[in-house]
Amino acid sequence: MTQAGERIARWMQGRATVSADGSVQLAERQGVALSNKLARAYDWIAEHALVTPFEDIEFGPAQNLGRTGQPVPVYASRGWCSFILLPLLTLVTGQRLLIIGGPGRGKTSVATLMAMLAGYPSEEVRRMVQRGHPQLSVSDLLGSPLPSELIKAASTDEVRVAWRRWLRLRVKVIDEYNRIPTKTQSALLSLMAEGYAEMFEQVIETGRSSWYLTANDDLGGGTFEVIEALRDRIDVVVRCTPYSGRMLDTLAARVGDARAPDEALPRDIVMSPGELDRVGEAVRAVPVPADVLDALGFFAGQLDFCTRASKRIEFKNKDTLHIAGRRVANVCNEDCPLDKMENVCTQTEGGVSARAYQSLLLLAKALAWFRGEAAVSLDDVRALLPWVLHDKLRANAQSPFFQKSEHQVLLTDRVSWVHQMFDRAMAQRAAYAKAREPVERARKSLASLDGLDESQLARHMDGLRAQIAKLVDQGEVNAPVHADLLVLKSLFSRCQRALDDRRREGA
Amino acid sequence: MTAALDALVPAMVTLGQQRNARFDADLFRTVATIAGGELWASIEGSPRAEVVLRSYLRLVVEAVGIGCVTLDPSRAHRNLLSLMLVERVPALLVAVAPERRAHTLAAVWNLGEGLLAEPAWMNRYAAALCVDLADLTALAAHLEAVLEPVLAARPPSQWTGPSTVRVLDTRPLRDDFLPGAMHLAAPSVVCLHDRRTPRTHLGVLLDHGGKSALLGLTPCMGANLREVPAATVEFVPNAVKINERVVALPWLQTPHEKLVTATGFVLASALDSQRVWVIDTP
Repeated sequence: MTQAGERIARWMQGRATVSADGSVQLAERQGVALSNKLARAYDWIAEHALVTPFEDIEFGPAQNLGRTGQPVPVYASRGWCSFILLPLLTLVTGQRLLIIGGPGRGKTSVATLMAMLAGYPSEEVRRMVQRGHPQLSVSDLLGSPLPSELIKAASTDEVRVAWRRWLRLRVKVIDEYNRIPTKTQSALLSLMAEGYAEMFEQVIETGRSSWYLTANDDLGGGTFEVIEALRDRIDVVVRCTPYSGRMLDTLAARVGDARAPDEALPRDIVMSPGELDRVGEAVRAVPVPADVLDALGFFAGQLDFCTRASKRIEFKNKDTLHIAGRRVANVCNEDCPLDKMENVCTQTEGGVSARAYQSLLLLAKALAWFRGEAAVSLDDVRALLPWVLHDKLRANAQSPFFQKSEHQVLLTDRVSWVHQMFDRAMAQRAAYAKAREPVERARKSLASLDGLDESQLARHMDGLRAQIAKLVDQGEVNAPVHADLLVLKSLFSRCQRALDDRRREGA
Repeated sequence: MTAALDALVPAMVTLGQQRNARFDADLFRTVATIAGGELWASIEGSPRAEVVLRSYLRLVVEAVGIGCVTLDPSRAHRNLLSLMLVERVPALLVAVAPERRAHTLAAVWNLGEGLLAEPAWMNRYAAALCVDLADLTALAAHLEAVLEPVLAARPPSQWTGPSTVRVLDTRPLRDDFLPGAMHLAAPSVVCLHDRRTPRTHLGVLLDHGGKSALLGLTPCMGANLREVPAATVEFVPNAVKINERVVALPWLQTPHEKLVTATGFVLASALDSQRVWVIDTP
């Protein structure tokens, strides 16, 4: 058969067939690129469900339009709306998203749309939503033992528990989580953090899940204060888009149709569990270049650092202050020699946990995959930082930085605040690039100490001593210098241990 | 619209919206009204005409939903499926025996969708060569005939000659076409851009033995193969030197754009001419 003939024979086995009644039938389409599917889902939600003109995740160089003090930037690449994009990325990464915003702004709608995109029918989605209220008990949330079992059982492990169905679903929606009583929050914490629940010595595993929590109040006020550990388990926060005049046409049409937008979810954007798994694997396979990790590490070091927390290099961080019951605001004053306009350490009351950076990296991989990029870029990281750090960073409002009138708006606009800190840190990283080179060279050359004899190790240690002394003497110890000092000191310590080993082996 | 279409179109719109996120209801209504209307006018009254119309509209719903239907007044369809559903099926299905119409529709769909999974140039090339298809039941055979020359591997040219020159005139295909940039979409297919009108392109089929030909209007075929020919090609006034061997080029003083393929073809356009010169050196 000819090459063309082979192709044509294959095409003829396509999905169109003629049924017994003489009509043409089309089987379901297979093999559609999953990134296209997610992009279609985004577009459909943006155009039919939420109808928002707001695109607050933007990429590429900006062109500032207007000559007044508040120019409007426009970007060459297309932008995305965080309120739609982040829930989608949460769906494919199995993360935990908190949606905040006033009543009626679409928080629960977005969460339930995600459940429907995961293939759950609308009736089931309505039942799966766990609605937070002050009387919500652990049994309401998790389930309860069968009454007949309670009477018959001789021991607790004989009691069968009727677990709530939602616990095993891939998408979990907790509405108004800050109205849940503290005790029930603890049960929720186990579910979210460990992926299981326990009752009467029975355990239920929740499996891989994407969590959507909603709250009316950005700081988790609500009826009950949200326990810190639960808040820390939230990977990313997004807020509802503000009101747009464009929505009114759509709202009027919906009133006319008497149909909710989620009732018309097209089938070609629904993802099967297998597809979600495949996307998850593809996302995790997206590489994060070393330069991106270095930049993120540089930024993280800035947030954590406080030169006034201790005289010892190892304890110059904000945790030292907090453990002592003090705050950054107590020490970040004119007695600190660092320039508060340049060093972002002044702007935050604390650093961020390793868990948050892990979430950030996974979401950045998902964003790069969604955008069709081969690897994570700094643009991906910058775009997501404000949403991952949204509830995890507290501003040091007393900082001299915020006393400047043009900076005060950053205390209300957290997204711009985090972007500003990241941009400032990246500018500082560029400025310190040359100074950091010798440290990086030392780190690479001493990655392995195998094969170095005593005299070579001693020479390296002399070099490290000189580098440390030079760094300390040449200027103030700020976050970048502090990070380099820690690296050099650690290398020195490794060389010392290796030298001791060689001497013992020689003796 | 006719009563038959009036009854079917709203339900098909609903179906499209339920199935495909990017379903364009307005585009569907336009195709259903114009092309569906043409089809219905030709088959109304024949056996099972309603079933055929419903099947046809169902395929249009799917094609619109997956975004492969274009309505271009220049008839430069991006893909075969669009050409077939919008133009050829409404015009030709009536010539198919009533009991074979559904099977023909299914075959048209399968061939068209199969081509969607192939590189863009192949689909556009196939669409360009099916514009004047006269028999829907012969579509598979026609596709095999036109695709085989471009799919079969060709050995690289030894450039020993002799060379033959064929001059292709673009004017019959489009009055004001002025050849500009050209790129190799496939080893035997060149995409030729109009220098003056954006998004206007012609395909050129390269075939030895002086059989190279223009393929008709097409969207840009996309791919740009970079081949390394084993020959030195130098243009001089009214001629081209291929490995120092001079080949006369009538009417071509200075080339504007040129392209050399590994399979022994040199293409050139002139600054002030609607012609394309194809020098074939096996």
